[in-house]
Amino acid sequence: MDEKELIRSAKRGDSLAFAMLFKENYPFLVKYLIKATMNPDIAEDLAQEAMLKSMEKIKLYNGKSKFSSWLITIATNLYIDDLRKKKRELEFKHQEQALRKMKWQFENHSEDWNDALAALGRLSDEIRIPIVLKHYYGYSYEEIADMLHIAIGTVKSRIHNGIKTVRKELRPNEEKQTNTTKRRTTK
Amino acid sequence: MKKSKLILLNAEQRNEEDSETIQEINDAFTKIDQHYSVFTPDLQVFEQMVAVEQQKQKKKFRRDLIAFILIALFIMTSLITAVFQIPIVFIIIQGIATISFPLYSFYRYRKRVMHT
Repeated sequence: MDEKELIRSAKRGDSLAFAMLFKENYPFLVKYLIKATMNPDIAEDLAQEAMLKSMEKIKLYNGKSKFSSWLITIATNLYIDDLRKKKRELEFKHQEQALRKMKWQFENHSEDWNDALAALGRLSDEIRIPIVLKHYYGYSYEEIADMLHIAIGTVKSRIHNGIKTVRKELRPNEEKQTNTTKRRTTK
Repeated sequence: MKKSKLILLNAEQRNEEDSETIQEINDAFTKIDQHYSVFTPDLQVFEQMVAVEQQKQKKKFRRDLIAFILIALFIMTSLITAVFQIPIVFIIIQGIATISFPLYSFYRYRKRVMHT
């Protein structure tokens, strides 16, 4: 059975169809959530929550995007809503702990935790998520705006600023140099 | 002329730097993907999860339906009582409803427009 048929059955309430759809998309969803949240501990819980939510909303799924895209949209919005509910400071502390843990896990497997990973971890979620969607998964600005319920201009500026921040962290010296040349040319 | 050329060069350089940074970002994400292997449970586990959730949804639907019917009955009885016992109250309630609904939708619409 292909995805469309499975979705049709799922809409009729077929539990096996749901289970097959979820099993097929589960690794993709969890891997996306690890990158989007930079917190592997919560990725699996969020994935499960998103799957349950998708069951509630399956009648609203119009089949325009792939089922996997729809799932990550639901998961992302769940995560963002969750963050809004919690206190900011607490969230910051948790994020720091999660990052330290990730770094430790990497080093334990003698893989290097490089500057790019550290810089991405330090980005705020609302900036990192559009970057993951755009540059890693190849969604268009319009699709991302739709997924996150924000304006296209906001998506563009968040991605642009995010990349600029990462670049600054990776190459602090170059940034200074280009700044000085820029100043000279404008004189 | 010279100035614009310089700015153009700068922009080009920026783009190149950007694509380099994007490459590094993607490499970092690939690293994360490779590092964490995801354990996918058996199909039965998913099926069970779905079955439990469907049961919950059915229960919730039934509860909501009963609550809806009870509230509707309550409102209907109070309105019918009002019509026969104190007609003026019924007319006032109808009047308030007729005015407040368009007002409410207008404010909601305006709020949505202002948000976007």
